Amino acid sequence: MSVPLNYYIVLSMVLFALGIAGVTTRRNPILIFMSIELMLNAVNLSLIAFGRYLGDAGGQMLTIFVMAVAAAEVSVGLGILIAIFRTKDNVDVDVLNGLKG
Amino acid sequence: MTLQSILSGQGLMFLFFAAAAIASGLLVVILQNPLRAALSLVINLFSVAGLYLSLNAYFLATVQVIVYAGAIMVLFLFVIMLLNMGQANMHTSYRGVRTVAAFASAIGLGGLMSAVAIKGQAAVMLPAETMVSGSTAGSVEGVGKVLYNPSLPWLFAFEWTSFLLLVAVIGAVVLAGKRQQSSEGKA
Amino acid sequence: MSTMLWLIPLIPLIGAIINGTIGPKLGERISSGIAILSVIGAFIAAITVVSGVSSSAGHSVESDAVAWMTVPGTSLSIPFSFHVDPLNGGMLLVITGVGALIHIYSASYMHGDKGFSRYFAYLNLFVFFMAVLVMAGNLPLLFVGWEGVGLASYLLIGFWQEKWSATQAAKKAFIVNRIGDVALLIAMFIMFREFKTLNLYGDSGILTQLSSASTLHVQTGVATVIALLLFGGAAGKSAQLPLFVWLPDAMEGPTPVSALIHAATMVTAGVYLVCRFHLLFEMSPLALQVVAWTGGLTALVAACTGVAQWDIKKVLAYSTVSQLGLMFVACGCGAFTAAMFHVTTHAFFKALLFLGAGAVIHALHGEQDMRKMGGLASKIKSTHLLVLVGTIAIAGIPPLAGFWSKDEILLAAFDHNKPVYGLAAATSALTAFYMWRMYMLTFQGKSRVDEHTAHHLHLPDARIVLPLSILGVLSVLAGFLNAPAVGMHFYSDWLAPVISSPEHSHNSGLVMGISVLVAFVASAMSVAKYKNVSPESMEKSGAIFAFFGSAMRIDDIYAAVVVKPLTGLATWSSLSVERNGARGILRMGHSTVEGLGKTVRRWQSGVVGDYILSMAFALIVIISIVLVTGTRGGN
Repeated sequence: MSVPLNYYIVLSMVLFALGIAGVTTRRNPILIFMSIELMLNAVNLSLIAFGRYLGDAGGQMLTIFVMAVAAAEVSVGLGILIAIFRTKDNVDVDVLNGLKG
Repeated sequence: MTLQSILSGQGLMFLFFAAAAIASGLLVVILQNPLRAALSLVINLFSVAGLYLSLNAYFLATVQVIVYAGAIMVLFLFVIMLLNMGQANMHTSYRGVRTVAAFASAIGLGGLMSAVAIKGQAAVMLPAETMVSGSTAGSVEGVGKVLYNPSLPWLFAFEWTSFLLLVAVIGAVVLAGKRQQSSEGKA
Repeated sequence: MSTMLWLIPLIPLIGAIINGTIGPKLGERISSGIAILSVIGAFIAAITVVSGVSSSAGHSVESDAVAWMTVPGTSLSIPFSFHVDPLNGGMLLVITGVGALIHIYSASYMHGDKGFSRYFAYLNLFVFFMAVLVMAGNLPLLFVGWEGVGLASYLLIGFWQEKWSATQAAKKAFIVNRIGDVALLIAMFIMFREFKTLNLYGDSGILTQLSSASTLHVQTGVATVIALLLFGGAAGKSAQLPLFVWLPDAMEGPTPVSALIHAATMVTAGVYLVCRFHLLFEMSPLALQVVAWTGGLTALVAACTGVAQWDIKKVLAYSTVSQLGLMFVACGCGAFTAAMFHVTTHAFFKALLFLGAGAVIHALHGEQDMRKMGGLASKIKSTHLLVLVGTIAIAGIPPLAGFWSKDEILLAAFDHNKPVYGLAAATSALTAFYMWRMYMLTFQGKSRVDEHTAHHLHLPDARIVLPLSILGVLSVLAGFLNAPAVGMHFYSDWLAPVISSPEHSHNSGLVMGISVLVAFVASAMSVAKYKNVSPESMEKSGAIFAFFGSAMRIDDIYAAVVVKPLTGLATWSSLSVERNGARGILRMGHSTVEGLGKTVRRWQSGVVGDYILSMAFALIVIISIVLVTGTRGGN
């Protein structure tokens, strides 16, 4: 085992930060979604790396569940997106401010 | 990290896939065209799969490619094309003045978390002999033996995950299915 | 026997609860039936108890004491306990007996009213509280009854809630009574200090202590204070000067209520209270003087006012105030037997007159103005006859009840207090005058009833005539319960265990002669004056008439002296204290919150990206804190 765990963790953090940047800057919900996938992947990577270095199979198990949940999330999320697009003709998240207080 | 360790098999793999993952991840965030961003995400997912391989998680690397890069990304592309986002709001894709704040916070957060990770170095650098023996742990057999072991907590969660997916499928159909009245009434 | 004591208040209470809860569902017949039967039940129980009183050793019946309030470490122990002796036994019979008659009458009078069962619930509640008041074995329980009858009176005066004047009158009665109640409360406090107990009867009871003069350590000054405070309470409840103003307004309630509460029973509670504590009053000549003079003045003022009223119920109301004044004259002259006797006879003939007036009002579809009556004698014969009996009785013409009881009072006043006797004699003359005036205006002369009403008179049914007849018989005969002149003194013998019989006065012949003469002369003058009164003469009224008609403008004086300054203070504090002070502070609080909310509100842009950004910032802050404090990092 030649590469230290830190390297994987820092890489995971960088990918996570990129994901956050994407989620907060993008106005297109599809791209926000993809940024979320990026963040999920970063977390998966850290999970597997930790599992590997700590000798615990749980990291990989959790990753499996994260993937399953991500798949579910994407299918529902895209469904919502289509529904919104159908009614609003606009999927700019800055315009969809129905939560405004 | 020493030079030898970098030049070893795992080190080279790590360097290559890490560079690819960061580059493609950056592209996902900055590219204007959703199609191109999606393709960058596919490259990113492949790179992460490579990193899984470097961590001996063979089965998950395969699943990553098949489920993520295959199924999920196809769904993304399908929706992008369905909604005809090829050109539509290309030039308004960024959120103006908020972008600066967003990037600043992202960099700050990434840096901070990395700092935490480096600070905790001593705690997580374990001797090699305590690790799971490389060959079987990440294989289909190794994963299966842990996942389907009734004495471990994963089996129960796994069964419920199938239910979750069923609900998600039904939900997606209900949401995306055509409803004449509601859609036209609001349009 | 002691269980019977509990039944007297409990049966009407049960009736009140039934009528007050499910009454409206029962229909008029069952609802009034329950109410009437419960009071008749109480009457039967009262008869049983009172007949037991005369045969029992100590001439009293005591109930078991059920624990209510005890203050550890002191002698203050207040149980639920009832006590009946000849004094309150007689009251009980009047309350339940006349009460039952008026319940029967009400069933017809209130027919068709939308609050029918509510009315009977209140009326039963009144009987319950009145029984508690009269039978109470200790002062706090008496006070419960005292306030309870006030509540029932309030509810019944304001029974027609949709009438503004009725609600105002109810409020007035309640508030004016409160003034007297405060005096009664203070009297209770002082009595506890002096007697170390609030129980009235028994070995260490207040009345027992009072009766054993040798061991009593209460100073005359203290006794005077207590007596005057008690009389203050009595003056509120029994409508004496200066607190009588509520009673005429109380006529806003249904007429049977006026008969039961504001003529026969509740208003005599003050007289009862004074008689109950007659030993205390006898200790203080000053208090007796005050009682006598207050009673005399009230009697005269109210009688003068009664002469100048056009409303038939108002005449009777002022007459009641006047008669109550006479009762206090008797108390003030030490003739407590005469006072209680007049309470009893007055209950009969005043209830009769009120119910008769109610029958007239009922017949005329609610008309109360005597200027629009007249000539009714031939139209409602039975009512006419019975009201005539009541009029003769109250006017003091022998041998009806009013003559005998009033004569006792006048005799006592003559013996003890000549100036007050003058007031009382003048009152008697005026009483005869205005009662005949009322009778003549209502029943004799030309009919001034408008055409439509005259042809559609509501003739009284049996439920109205029966109680009237019974009361009429009692008004004729009750006087002979205590007519020493013809050798009858059942009543004073009956009360003897509680109130010692008065010594025989050698002035009785003289006083009786004057009384008879005055009664006849006044009656004759009245009949002559109002025999053929013309409608025109009624319309014009002089300044003196108006002055008397408004009860010497006492209401206006109160309005100027009490009500106006108070409402002024309330308005001032509402405008300055409330609006600028209290409300200003509150406004400061809410404007702070509102301003804060308006500022924070901008944060809620509704754009999901902003929320995520906020989360990211928060994470940075949290991780920075962890990193700097370093509680978990390194080793």
